[in-house]
Amino acid sequence: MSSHRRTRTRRPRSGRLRAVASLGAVGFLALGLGAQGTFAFWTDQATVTTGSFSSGTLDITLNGQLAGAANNGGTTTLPSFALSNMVPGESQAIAFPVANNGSVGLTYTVNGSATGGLAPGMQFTVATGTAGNTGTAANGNRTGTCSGGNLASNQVLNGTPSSVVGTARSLAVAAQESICVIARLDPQAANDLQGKTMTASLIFNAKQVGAP
Amino acid sequence: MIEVRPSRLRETTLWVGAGLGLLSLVAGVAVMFFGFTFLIFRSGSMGPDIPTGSLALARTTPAAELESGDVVSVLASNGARITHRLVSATVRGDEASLILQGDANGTPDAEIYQVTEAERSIVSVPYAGYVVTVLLSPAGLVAAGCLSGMLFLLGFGPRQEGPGAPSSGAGGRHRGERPRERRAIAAAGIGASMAVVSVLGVGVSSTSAFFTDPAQVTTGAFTAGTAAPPTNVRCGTGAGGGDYVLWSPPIGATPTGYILNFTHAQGSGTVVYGAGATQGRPESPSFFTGNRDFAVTITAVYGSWSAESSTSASIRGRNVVLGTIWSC
Repeated sequence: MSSHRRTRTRRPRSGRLRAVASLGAVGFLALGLGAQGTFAFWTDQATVTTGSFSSGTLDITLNGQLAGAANNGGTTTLPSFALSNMVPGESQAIAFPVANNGSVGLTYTVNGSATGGLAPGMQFTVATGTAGNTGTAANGNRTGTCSGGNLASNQVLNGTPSSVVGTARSLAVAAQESICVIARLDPQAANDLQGKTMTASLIFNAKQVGAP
Repeated sequence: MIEVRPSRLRETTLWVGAGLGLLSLVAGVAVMFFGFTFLIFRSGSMGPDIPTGSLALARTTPAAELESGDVVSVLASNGARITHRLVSATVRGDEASLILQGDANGTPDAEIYQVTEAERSIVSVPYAGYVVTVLLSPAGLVAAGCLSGMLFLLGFGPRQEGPGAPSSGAGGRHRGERPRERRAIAAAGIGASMAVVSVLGVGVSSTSAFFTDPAQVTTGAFTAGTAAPPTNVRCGTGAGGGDYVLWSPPIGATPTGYILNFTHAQGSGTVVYGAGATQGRPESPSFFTGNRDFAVTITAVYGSWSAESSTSASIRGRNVVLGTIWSC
């Protein structure tokens, strides 16, 4: 009983001190802690000390391919987007869907590069809409067209990736759009390009909305 | 036993409250006077090392002292605070150009940040950012205030066995009832606070974000054809009678046109024919008398490409009063 009594007499003092100390937490929190929200790329720049967390994934798909985290930075091929025995002025068009498969809005720009001896003679047009192809190889008049407006016209690509569509296009979550690409052999192609071959790559750089 | 348990609860609660309070004060002093900053990670591009909702302690560091591999926080030109890993820094005087990349990003940030100083992350704690965010909300502040008030009551409030406390029970019950009440109040207070935190926490979930995704599409092969020359260039009877230079179209693509090249003793010239032509004659741009022998080759035209026949044909023109008579 005596020890009991002693602890009782001590408790109130230390309790008061600690209780006062605990008030520090409230004061500190009320001052806002000086904590700053930071984000890699964040959709809302409105506030610093409050705001929600950015959950989810950013995932762009091309032609229904490259979904998921494992394909971040992946490559897909359009084997049918090819033409042999081209003569100057001939072209081919192909359309494929570009989709936002993630859970945050994204914007994208397009870079392009090409390899092969024919690269200097090939011109790439990027547009929206669907693709149409007419003409025959026998007549040397194969022509591809896109139904939508041009985003880039007759860009020549080389080994160094260069900007093709520099103005970012945005895709909301689950949205998709049809991108149409025309590959044309320059009507003024030099004679020394005869018999040469090239392949091209278009890189769709997707970023979260608001990303620097 | 009855008395020990509530006092132990009281002790623990008070100690925890005091500890948190002192920690907060120390942190406050560090932020105000020593250049420290707390960073709450709102997205996951630094995952998996620093997942969304992490709280990091950072300290303002001169740009020249930053090293590759540091986790650095800067303000982007659009005003957003970006915290990514430093890939490389180019220092020029006090100012540095920083190239940053999120661990989960495939590519560095497009923007190159010009800074004189940046917040370098010292340590990060997963999930703590969620807690802080919740606490910083009005409801969180109220909850923290309530908790503190409750601790205040625990510390300053009437003693467990306050004399003269109203009680209808016997002396034995009297002792146990007050602590039990207190314990119930404390439990209720903590429970209420937890409930508030939980409700606020529902809107927050973890993330595995990929904030850039460079997807590439590759074409098949585009191959240029080879311009082939017309074949079987010869002199013969053309369609509709009369002698002409005749030729056959090349095998493969059809040329978009043909050029008839002629030379004679006094000069040379060309005549252009459209696609599908298979016969032609040299023109006689100037009056000539008597016979003139022409050597003719045919060039197939494919847009900007052309291919000239390797063999030539001969045709003779003889001017008469009414025109030119052609013969092989």
